[in-house]
Amino acid sequence: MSDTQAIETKAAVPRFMRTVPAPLLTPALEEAIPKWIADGPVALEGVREAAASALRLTGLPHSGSEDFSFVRTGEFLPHLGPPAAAALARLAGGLPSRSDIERQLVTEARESYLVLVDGVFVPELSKPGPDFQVARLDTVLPALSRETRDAFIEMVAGETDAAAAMAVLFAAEPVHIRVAANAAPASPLLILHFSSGSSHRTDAALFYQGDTLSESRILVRHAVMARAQEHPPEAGSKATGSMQNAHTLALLGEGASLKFMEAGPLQAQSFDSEADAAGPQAAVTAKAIHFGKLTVRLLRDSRLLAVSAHTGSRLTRNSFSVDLSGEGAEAEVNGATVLTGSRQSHNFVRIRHLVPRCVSRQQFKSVAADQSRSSVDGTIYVAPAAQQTNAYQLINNLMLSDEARADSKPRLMIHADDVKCSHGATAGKLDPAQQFYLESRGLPPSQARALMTVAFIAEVLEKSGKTGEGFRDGLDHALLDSLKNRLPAESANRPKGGLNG
Amino acid sequence: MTTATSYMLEVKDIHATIGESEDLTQILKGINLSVKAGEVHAIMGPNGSGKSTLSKVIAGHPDFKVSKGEVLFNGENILELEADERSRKGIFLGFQYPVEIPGVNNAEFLRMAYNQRRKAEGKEEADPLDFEEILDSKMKALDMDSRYKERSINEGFSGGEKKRNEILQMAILDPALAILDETDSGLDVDALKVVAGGINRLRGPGKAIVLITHYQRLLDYVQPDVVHVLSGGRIVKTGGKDLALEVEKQGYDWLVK
Ligand SMILES: Nc1ncnc2c1ncn2[C@@H]1O[C@H](COP(=O)(O)OP(=O)(O)OP(=O)(O)O)[C@@H](O)[C@H]1O
Ligand SMILES: [Mg+2]
Repeated sequence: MSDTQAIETKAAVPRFMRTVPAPLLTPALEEAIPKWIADGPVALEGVREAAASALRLTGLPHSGSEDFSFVRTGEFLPHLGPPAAAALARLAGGLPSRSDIERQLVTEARESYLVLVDGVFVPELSKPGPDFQVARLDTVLPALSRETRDAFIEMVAGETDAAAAMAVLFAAEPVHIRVAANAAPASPLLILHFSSGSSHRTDAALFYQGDTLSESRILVRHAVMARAQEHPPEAGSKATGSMQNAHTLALLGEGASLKFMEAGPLQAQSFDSEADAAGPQAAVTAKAIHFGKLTVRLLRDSRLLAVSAHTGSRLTRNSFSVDLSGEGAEAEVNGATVLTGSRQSHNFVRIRHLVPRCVSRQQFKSVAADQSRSSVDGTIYVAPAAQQTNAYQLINNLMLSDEARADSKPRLMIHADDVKCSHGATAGKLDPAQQFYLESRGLPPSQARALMTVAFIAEVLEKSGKTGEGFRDGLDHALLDSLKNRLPAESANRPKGGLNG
Repeated sequence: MTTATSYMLEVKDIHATIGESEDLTQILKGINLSVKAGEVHAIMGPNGSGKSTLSKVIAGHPDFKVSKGEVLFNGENILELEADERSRKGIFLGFQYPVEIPGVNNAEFLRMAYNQRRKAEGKEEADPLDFEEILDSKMKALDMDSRYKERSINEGFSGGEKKRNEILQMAILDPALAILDETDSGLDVDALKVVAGGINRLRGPGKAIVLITHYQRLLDYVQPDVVHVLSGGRIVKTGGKDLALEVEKQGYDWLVK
């Protein structure tokens, strides 16, 4: 693939020559972009131009990219090219079956869901319910208020994450979701991202618009279609598995509230040998690369609660970019990750306090077993004007194996003086006294350890509150399952030195 | 399973240590203890004499290494078994200091433990609703508010509430052998009666109970058949229930010196 070669060339440039990183795209990408924009719907031109300009500024990630300090770029760079041939043909990978969908529905959102396949919105399989106005972005964009349109385009143009910019640029059919002023849909909207596995990368872009004083909940799940296994990766692709690249942008109007809960790939299996035993879906998920980004702009007095939970994949990266742009806004971003096998998951968070009197809270809990790797890289930026900011960030890692690795990089960049900001990171192991207590009641070591592990992240999952209950139950089970047989058979009866919380 | 004359629990010349090499400490120095089904034994003894250690060695705590001796449960040497296996065979340890486990729901944990026990007995898992009923009735008998079901294991429980929760777990698991390590300490008068009631309900021909205590108080409610005094890692005296009264009156000095 030509783009891969170009990247290799770039990597060969000595470090000192790249003190100002050259925002390089591959020739293939450079060539594809104008053509893609010109051939697409006229209404999307502005959005795609904005995404393209962001991408050109950012350039493709390289080994020195700050955004990817814990992620080996070699693992995903081959996926960052122009859209795959398969992706250009709408729904070439087929549609999910009724049972594919049923499997993913959660009780509270049975009557309110969207189906996207390889990033393409499928209205005939969707059922958004009356209070969520859902449409292809190109069909509604001209009718949006100038303010809203400009805000969205500004958010896109300001993107600093190459993959996220690409998601918006190359999403075949960006979707617009709107909750009208003062509306408060009774049930959450479940967004189901299905992957057909037929393309080396799929791009999805969702634009959420919560109008003044609206109040809504969005649940996001990622799933693989049962028939995905029948599709071998595109011929000529060097990449193994596929990359799902999804970007959600949310614009919260004055006093609006959004609860955004995302379950990344959640499968009870390990990447590699055991994958087969867990079925074809599991095998596909384990090999997949998941990039997800949530970009939110909060206006005055609006509220965001984001909870993201997953069990990782060959490479999962979740990125959050939150701008507190209106006084009195509050954002809470939480993550729970449970990793087994050689799975990876990386969280990247940028919270920007741009105006006075906003609040932000972050809590990320990661569990790393076997040879898995996780990282949380989070920065809170407080602008000079953002007095009386209240911000904190907490990263807790639970290490279940000596071969696992968890990196934490909490950071504060504070340019105002009247603020309350704190951050911290911890790493620990399961408490042997707790484990003995559970075992002394007859729970086998693996069950005891799974229970304690789930308890460790429960604090984060519980943040999704009552509204996320059904969702959370599913998570609990998936997490428990993923752990039960995967935890090292280390028993409380066989002491290993240095076990201490 | 066992004949009337055989012992349910036989601790034979147990020597136990904690730590490694230079830090190695000998705590139990040759303990012998035999308990028959149907009996209640009390173990008393000064602080640091090794009572809790003995209970943990029987329950299978990994920190303590048995350097010599055997522990037989219904004739089987259990020292090679893991703590959970011992539990499923019917051994219960009521902890002196019950551990708090934030994030693990008390009722759910009890159901898991109950089902593990049933599985070990070759029975099916209990229907969640049936279990709820069992749990409710046991909690009621122990005068426990149903909100303890919603809480995490022992998290934020007062000292007395923790002890009551231990007895609740015992009642749910219905063990053959219950070793209760200072379950009476930290209880107010009313709670002591409730807890003693729970212990007495377990009492029966097929059950054995070992009470570790510093006080005669509990023994007024749960009358022991045999009383032992443990000191310096050895049992220095064994007698009837009068021994407990004597200890209460005179302390341990006359036994130790
Ligand atoms: N984990 C440990 N590490 C080091 N020493 C220990 C440990 N556990 C117990 N010991 C020591 O072993 C001895 C016996 O302790 P144990 O807890 O069995 O006493 P006890 O008879 O139960 O006392 P108490 O009446 O105060 O509960 C004590 O000297 C104690 O310090
Ligand atoms: Mg003790």
